[in-house]
Formats: sequence, structure tokens, C-alpha cells
Amino acid sequence: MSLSKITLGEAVKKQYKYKLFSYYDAIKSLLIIQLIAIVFSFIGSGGSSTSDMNVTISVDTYSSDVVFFFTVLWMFITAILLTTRAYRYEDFSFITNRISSQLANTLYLLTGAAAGTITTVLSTFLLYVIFYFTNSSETIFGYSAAGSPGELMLAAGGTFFYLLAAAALGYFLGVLTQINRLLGFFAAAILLFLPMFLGQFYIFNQISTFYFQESSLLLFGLKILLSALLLFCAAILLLNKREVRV
Amino acid sequence: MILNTDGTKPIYMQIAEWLETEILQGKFTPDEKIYSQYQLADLFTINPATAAKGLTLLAEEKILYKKRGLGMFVTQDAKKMIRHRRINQTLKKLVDEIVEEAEHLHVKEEELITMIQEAKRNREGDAE
Amino acid sequence: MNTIECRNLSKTFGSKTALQDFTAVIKENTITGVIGRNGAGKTTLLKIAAGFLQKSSGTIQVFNESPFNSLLVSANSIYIDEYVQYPPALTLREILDHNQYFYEKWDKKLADRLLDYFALHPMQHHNRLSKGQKNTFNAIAGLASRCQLTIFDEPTTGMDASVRKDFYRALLKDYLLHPRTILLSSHHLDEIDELIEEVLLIKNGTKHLHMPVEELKEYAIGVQGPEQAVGDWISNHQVIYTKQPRPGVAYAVIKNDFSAGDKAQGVKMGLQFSAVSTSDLCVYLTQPHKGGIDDVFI
Repeated sequence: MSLSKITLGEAVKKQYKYKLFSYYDAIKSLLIIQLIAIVFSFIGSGGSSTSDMNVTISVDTYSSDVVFFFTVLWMFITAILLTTRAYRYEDFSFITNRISSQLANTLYLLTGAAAGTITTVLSTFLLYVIFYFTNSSETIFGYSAAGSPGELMLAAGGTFFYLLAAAALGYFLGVLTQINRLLGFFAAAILLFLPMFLGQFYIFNQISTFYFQESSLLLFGLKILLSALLLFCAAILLLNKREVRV
Repeated sequence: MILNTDGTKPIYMQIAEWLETEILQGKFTPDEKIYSQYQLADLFTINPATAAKGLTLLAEEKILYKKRGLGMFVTQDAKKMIRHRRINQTLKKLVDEIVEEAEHLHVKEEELITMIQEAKRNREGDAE
Repeated sequence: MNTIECRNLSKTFGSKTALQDFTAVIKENTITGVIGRNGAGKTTLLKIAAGFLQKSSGTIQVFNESPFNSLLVSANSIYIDEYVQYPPALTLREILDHNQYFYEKWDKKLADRLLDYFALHPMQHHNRLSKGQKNTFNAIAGLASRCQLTIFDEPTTGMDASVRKDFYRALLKDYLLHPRTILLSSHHLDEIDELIEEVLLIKNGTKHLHMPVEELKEYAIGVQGPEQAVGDWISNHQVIYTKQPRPGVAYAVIKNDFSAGDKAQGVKMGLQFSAVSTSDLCVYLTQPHKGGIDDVFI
């Protein structure tokens, strides 16, 4: 009898590759969501105009914020989906244990965040291109700065860390829901909705200041990275004793 | 041969009987290698352990002998022994049953002998 | 060498006990039939061995490792039943390719030939197959993976009779070429009793019997005759099953542990002895009532 040997690293690699191939529905939905978002940003623009005697200044602002928000939402939902029963059970149709399956999920979500970042940044360019061809306005502000390396890095870095945060949060909440549905809903309510209504409470203010008032991209990234690491580790630990195919 | 699979007769015994018949019919000569347990398993779609049990049974009865690493071979006296045992056990039992049934039905000895002769003639007629 | 060793293995789901003090050893390179009624604990046992479920107490060792979260066990075992899930986006071809990517001993040629033989289209999607086709496909994956521990839990559900027969023949032929430890669970022992070497009979979460199938064939014997005579004769034997085929006539299945002399005595009393098929015997052994369904109508 000769037994096949496999290390954790190999198992994670194989699971990751298999997920990249099998979950193309997730990538498909990312592209569709971003296309919809681009249409939204094109229509829903803010505008103002001032006129003084015989001069009228009309300013229309267009932003790819909608694309960004939609992508963050996509990341959050994708992360939750990965924790659902069907996805977890599928992994066990091939070689895996709970750690390799979840490490592969983490890698997949990182890849998803990277893909989401690239397409979000690119969508800004797409917006510029569309305006260039459709808008009669002579001046498009921000046009020249858009392609500069500094601007690009800032946009890409910021987007990536927000997506990473969404992924880690979604994954963690998904895992909590898998363990106990009530617990999941409760945690989601605390983390997502209470701050909106109880913004005046000191602790929520502190948390929001800690993450979202950070002006340095590097520090912001570091904070998100560590928090995501913590959330993923917690999720992996929580699911490690979880039975499959019950 | 089709195995009787209603579970009333162990498969390994049926395998042993089938091999005996093959030897009786001269399909295997003394010192010739007989089917391996794997060939038998494939032939009858049975577990090789069951097939091995059939072979072991015949080895215990000295109809087959084992050459280490080479398989099972037919012994010199295999045919003689099989014939002898079948006459003394199988045939004798059948005859006993016939006689018993004939007694139940009040069939006389001469009638019974005539019936046997007739059956034999019919078979010979079929064979021609 | 043993592939699986269970000692006092227990498993509970909430307040329900699925396995209790289960002790058994599965030898390497054997085909074992895991037999039992619905809810006896077959699936629970097999899923614990595959590392899907966690034991509640006792020990289980597969390849000398605890199977839960063991990569060694996962890499060398495959569990096939009708609920095996594959990503819905994949075609059958892609699922097989992924299997090949994962399983070191995967036999691509065998998988392709079986797929072709059973007329499954490689571009079909797994979730759009019929129940029988799905099970056929899962069985192909189970065979071609060549895992040292191959577990088939009710693999033939929904397959038509000829596919069933072909699957069992394919299983045997591949086993002859590549011996491995195979666990095959079924309600119907008669379907697999020629294929298997050992029978593991599970009743109410415990091991009821574990022996070579050929021994099981001689484990019990049927006795039929006048009610009084049967009653007298079986009084000092272990009775497994009784019924009344006709008024005044009794039939009993008893443990085959008496001498030829006893039997001759019985024949004189007008009793008839007959062999009991293994599948009937397993039904009798696992019945909660000695008289079967008839007990309900007394």
C-alpha cells in the first residue's frame, strides 16, 4: 500500500487554483455590477450653475463613487457566499481539510479584492473616455491628474484596503452566521447598523475615527491589514471544528 | 456456468464444483496450472477471496496442489478422486432419493430400472 | 495492516445517538459490505471515517491517523454518495480534470472510458443530471480516483438494473487490478454479496455482526415443519426469526450451531431444513421484532 502524501501548502495551492477556476460566477457578477454602476454614475451626476449678467458657469460633477460602493458591496456579499454550506461542502469533494479550504478562501478573496481594485480604477478612466466623446464641455477638471502615478497609487491603495476590509468583515460575519444564525445577524446589526444610529456614542466614534479619519494611506492600510488578518484568523478557528456533509 | 445466487449454496462450493467438472471433462490435465483466484473472480464477478476459498477447498481434497508463487496445479489423481467422490456421495445420495420417492409412489424396482434405462436411451438419442 | 480501527466509537447528534460503542477493524485491501436498515448508523460511520463528521467519544484511526481534519486521510480516501456536490459552473469534463489535479493516482483513461460507456456527455453540468446519472458520474469519480480507502454509500440509488450490474462489475475488475480498501454500503445485501469479502452488519448504532460473507451463508439455518415439532426443536437454540407460513406449520430461522445428529433427529420429527440467504438473514437479524411486520397485526 502506498499512500499519497500532501502538505498543507500543496493542498491550499490546489484548492486555490480550483476555486479560481470554479467561481467564475463571482468575477462575472463583479463585471456586471461595475457596468451598472458606471451607467449610474453617468446619469446621476450632481450639477450647479451660476450666472452673472452675460456669463453662465455650469459645473457638472461626475464621480466613480458609485462604482466604488457597488464593488465594496460585491466584495462583502462574495465573502459571505464563500462561507455558505454549498461552497464549504464542495471543497470536501476533493482533497482538503478545514484549514486548507479556508486559507484558499482567504487567498481567493484577496485575489477578488485585487481584481475589484483594478476594475474600479479602470472604470474611472472609462468614465473619462465616455465624457470625452459625449460631453460638449470644454474643460474637464481632474483629467490631467487622473493618470499620474501618485494619484493612481492612492486610488488603488485606498480601494484595495476598503475591499479587503469588506471581504474580511463579510467572511467573518458569514462564518458567525454558519455557526449560529442569530449570532450572525446580531453581530451584523452591531457592526453595520448600530453605528449609524448610535453615532454619538463614544466607542463608535473612536472606532470610526481610528479607521476612517486616518489620513496616511500607509497607516490606514496597516490598520486594515491587521484587522483583516485578525478577522480571517478568528473565522478559520471558528470553522475548524465544523462538520461537513451533515 | 451461471452461479446460483439465491444464497442457498455458498459460492465457493459452486466454484469448486465447477472446477471439478472442468477437470472431469478433461479441460485440465494433471500438472496443468488451473485458473488463479483473480481469473475466477473476473470470470464469475465474485470477490477474489471467495474464489480463493474454492481453490483452497480443492487443495485440501488433494485435487489441486500449490506451487509457491506460481499458483495452483491439478494433481495426478484429481480426475479419479473427483469421480470416486461424486459416485460415492453425489450419485449415491441421488439414488437414495430416487428409491425413497419410488417407495412413496409404490413404483416397483423393475419399473424404476426401466425408467432409468429409458432416460439413458433418450439422452443417447439426443446426443446423436 | 488495518485501514480503519474503531474503538468504542460513539456519535450523537443532539439527543439522538447515531453510533454507540462501535468497535471494528477494517483490514487493508478488502471489500466490506456495510449493511443495515435506514438510520442504523451506516452513513454516520462512513462520514466519520472520511473525516466529514467528528466523533463524540471513543477512537477512530484511518491510516493510523484521526481522520477529522487529516490531509493524509483526505488525500487517500474518497466518499461517494448521491449528495456529492460539485461547483455548478463546472462541466463533467472539468470536474474530472479537477479530480485528476487533486488525486495523485487518478486514472484518466478509466474515467474517460467509463464516462463514454455510460453515455454521459462531457459538456453536461452535474446539477442537471438525473439522479441515476448523477450517481453513475459520482461512482466513476470514486473508481478513477483509486483512493486507498474508497467509500461508496448507497452508490446505485436511481441507477437502472443494467447500469448497477455494470458498475459492480467495473468495481470488481478495477479492484482486481488495483487492490484497495473498499467500503460499500447498501440496504440490499443480495446485490453485493458476491462482490464483498466481509459483511459488517450495523443495528441501532452498534456492530451486530462482522464476518466473511461466506461464513454468514452458513451462520443460520431455516427449519420448517408442524408447529409443535418446530417449537420443541428450537426451544434450546438461538432463534433469529419465526413465522407461520400456513396454519399449523411453523418456520424458524435459528443459529447454525448444532450437530448432524441433532439435525437427523429433527428430520425424523418431520422437520425440513433449508439454507437461509444472506440478505434474508440480515433482514431478520436487524428486525426489531422477531415476527416482522406481522407482529403489528397481532
